Amino acid sequence: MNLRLNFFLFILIFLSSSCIKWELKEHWGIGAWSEDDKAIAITKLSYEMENKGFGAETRNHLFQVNTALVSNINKTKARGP
Amino acid sequence: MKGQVQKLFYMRDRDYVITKTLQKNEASEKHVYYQFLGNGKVRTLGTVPVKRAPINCEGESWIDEINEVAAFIPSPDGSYIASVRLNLTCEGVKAHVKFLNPDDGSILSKETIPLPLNMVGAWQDGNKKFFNTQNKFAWNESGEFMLGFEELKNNVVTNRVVGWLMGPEKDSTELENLDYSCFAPSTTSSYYSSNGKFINSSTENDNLSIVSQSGKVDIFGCH
Repeated sequence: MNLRLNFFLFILIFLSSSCIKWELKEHWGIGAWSEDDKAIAITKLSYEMENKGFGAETRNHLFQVNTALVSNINKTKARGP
Repeated sequence: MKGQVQKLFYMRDRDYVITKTLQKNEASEKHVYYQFLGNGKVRTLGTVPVKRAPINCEGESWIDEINEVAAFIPSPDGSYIASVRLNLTCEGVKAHVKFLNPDDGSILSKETIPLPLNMVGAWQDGNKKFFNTQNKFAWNESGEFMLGFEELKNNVVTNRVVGWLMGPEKDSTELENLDYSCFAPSTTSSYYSSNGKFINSSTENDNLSIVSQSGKVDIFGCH
């Protein structure tokens, strides 16, 4: 009886874990204005997210710092690695 | 770089960016503070574990429940970085304050201040004693650093901020009773521009734009 239950649980865990897929997400994160309001710094985020609608976990978070002049805000320049 | 950025300062004139980053794995969680320099190098300003180990004092287990035990905040013109680290010891909570040179990271001055009881919340559960503080750290418009804490009486806030006015080349003095607006944002670089605009990113085309915020926003200084 116990063996059968364990086998059933094993199959259930195997099936549920094999269904989880991780999607790569990339988008802008938080930003800040410079002290003189002439430029901004903003983070570019990269991470993996579970492909389920509710309570999705994320992992492998990376970021890159970018700066740009306010006069040309979409011409961002990466800073550091 | 690894981690999730929770706070960001950009000092354009001195050409650096400071980030507060949460790094977590299965074994640990820590906050790492980085300074991104203009030459592409990255300086680690400090690393603090999110959960600190209890210490044994007076036959009890003392537990540090301080929400924000560290802060690295650039001065309004970026010429200094204030570094604060709060430590629970058997003598109580101590604030280690340093002023750093943003160019080379060197320490210009440092001071350790034991916090009096009206700045520290403490409560007991059996053999365990828990401690926390409610920090109000910011620079003011005169270029002085305000090491402020919510005043507590029997663990209840009095709606007064108490603490010290500090600077790299001056003796610390007692903080006057200041409005809460003086502490948020903590310096000239913040999420909002001085005229209340913020940065928006489009999820459709990834473009950045500048948006005006309706209503009152927090801008640097006392209002």
